[in-house]
Amino acid sequence: MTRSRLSTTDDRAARTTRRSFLAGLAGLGLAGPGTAAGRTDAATTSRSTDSRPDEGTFTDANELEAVVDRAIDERIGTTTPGATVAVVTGDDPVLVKGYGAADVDTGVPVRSDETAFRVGSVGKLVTYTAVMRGVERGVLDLDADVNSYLGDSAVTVPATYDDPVTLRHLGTHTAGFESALDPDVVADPGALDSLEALLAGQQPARVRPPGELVGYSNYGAALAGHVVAEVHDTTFEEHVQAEILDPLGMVHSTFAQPVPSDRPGDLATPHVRDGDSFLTADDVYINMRPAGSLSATATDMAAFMRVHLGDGAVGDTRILGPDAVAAMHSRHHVRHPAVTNWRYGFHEYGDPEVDLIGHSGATVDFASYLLLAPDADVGIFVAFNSNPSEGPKAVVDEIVAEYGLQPAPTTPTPTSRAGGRERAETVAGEYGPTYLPRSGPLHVVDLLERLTVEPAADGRLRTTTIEGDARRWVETEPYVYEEVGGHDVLAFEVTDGEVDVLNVSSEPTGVYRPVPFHERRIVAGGVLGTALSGFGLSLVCRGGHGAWRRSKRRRTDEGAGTEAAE
Amino acid sequence: MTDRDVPQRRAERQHGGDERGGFTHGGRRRSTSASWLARAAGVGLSAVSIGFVLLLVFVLETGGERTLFTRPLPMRIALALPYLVGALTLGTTVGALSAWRYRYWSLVARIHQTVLALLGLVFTWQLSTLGFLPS
Repeated sequence: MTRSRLSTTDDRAARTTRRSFLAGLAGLGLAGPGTAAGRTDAATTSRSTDSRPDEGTFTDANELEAVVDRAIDERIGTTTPGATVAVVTGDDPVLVKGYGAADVDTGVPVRSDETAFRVGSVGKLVTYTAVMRGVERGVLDLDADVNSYLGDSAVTVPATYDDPVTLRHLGTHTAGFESALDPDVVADPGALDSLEALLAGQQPARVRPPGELVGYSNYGAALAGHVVAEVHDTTFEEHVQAEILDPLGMVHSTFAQPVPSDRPGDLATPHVRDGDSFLTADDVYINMRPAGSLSATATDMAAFMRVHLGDGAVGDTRILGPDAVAAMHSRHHVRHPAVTNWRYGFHEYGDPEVDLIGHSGATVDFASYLLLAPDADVGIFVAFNSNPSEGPKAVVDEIVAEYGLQPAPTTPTPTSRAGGRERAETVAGEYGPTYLPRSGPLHVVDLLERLTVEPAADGRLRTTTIEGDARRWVETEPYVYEEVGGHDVLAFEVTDGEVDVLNVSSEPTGVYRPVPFHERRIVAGGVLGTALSGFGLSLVCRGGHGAWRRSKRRRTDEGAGTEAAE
Repeated sequence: MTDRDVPQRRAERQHGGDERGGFTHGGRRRSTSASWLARAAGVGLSAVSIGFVLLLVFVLETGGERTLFTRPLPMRIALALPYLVGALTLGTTVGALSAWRYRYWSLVARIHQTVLALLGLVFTWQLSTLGFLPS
């Protein structure tokens, strides 16, 4: 696997396969070999139509292109067969470029302005932009009960708690719905259902009061899209197409599935890794469309980023007013002041002190990442037509580091407050994330995502994952620990000597909570191992005993026969 | 062994002491006997539990984690097996209780059945904890 070459990358996504796996899950999908339909050498490298003005925040467009080329070229053929990249500054696309193969079987190259990629949950940003548009027009209110918009819909959010679910909760993943990684992925487009029927029929339980904790929810994003559609008395796909995608000239973009034949350009083929090569895979379809069915080219995503960097307009086309853009980019939910938090639809990225916002995305065999640096007037979008363990975010991390969009990590300064050792003992334990399902087969992923916290010398902490990813942390404020050699932060919320919540800065899609003893890995592993060993031993013993008895009986019968003959 | 030992052993087998499970020495199938069902539940529990893990790993290895989303037939079969494990655990547990109550089999065989029932209970509990069974 190609590893990130930078030590200043912002979080663990570039370090561990499981992190990237879950980054994909956060967007939606999972990496995997998938259904093969063909095989070819993955070392295809073809260039596409470029767009490279020489002006902008990046003072030298050629240097930027060299940086991006280096980052992508080392991944083409090893990490992904194809990629598409857009980098914009202000109202200008500085670099829009395709790399590698859109389809390894046909050898068609990725063209930045013609080859659409499934961008997965990056499409949620379009959904939430549509919500803000409704707020700006006065037809939606971020703090109104979403049920007030669903009078003509079969969807109703139950009154499980006193406080209603609002669009602000949906845009910050704090509605309190039980997380379900699966936005109802189907392999057959004929299995796609209407959004209304789907949301009514597959409503997850409300497991937390709204506004309390972050727990990534595809259902919540889909519900927000449905609310938009309901107030405009149309379908979500038609509304977004007419109000956002078409006005911005995003002519290759659509939430419709399969991509309609009258859309220009071609959809890149998804791929799965097979040894040293890539295989084309069957595409899948996302039933919760507002949560992840968008297909778009890099050129189109450049236009979308320019809207957010350009106060809501691109040229003469205005999608949002400046106040609405500012509102969308402001904080709407604070997990903890020391870690990354939630803007509207966007989560903060990297160093919590720096104004960087973004979103990851994935379908089963696509991956993408979009990052905005509003202060620097920079937007970066990277997409792969595969979903490798090290996804597009690693490329974004390299560009961010190369151009100093966030400062390099410094050595944390230990807190002067006494009692660090006792606090380290208090927070030691095993933690599990809230962004994973608490029921169903996907709940087993939770077991793989546990974080073990152990006290180390001088009040420091050591954390490990099941993959052996070990990191060291220094306490900089009581119960706040900064990573040694990175930007990550752990912030514990402790009540009466017990940890309620662990906020991990690099995991904005949820928080971690202490795992009860009976659910800990050592218990699960011990029970499963013992039970399966016992079952296996039982079968072996039973089989051996049966064979021994048959053998003994045969000998006895033969002996009896011999005696009788005598 | 003497001539007199053989008919004595045959009689023991015909009164529930059949260690082979399922057939009398004369060949008549005893599929409806409680002791045979208890024994079969234990064997089934062991085999299905191991089969579930093997099939799940096989499907994930060959089809990738996407199969947890798209649920092809092999994955649907794998995800149905925990329910069978639960049912077999129930049968094994009832069989173990009956074995002590009605003195099926030898002492060792009864202990074996009881251990299987306990393993089945904790295995089912973990399947529930991991989300393969509703809790």
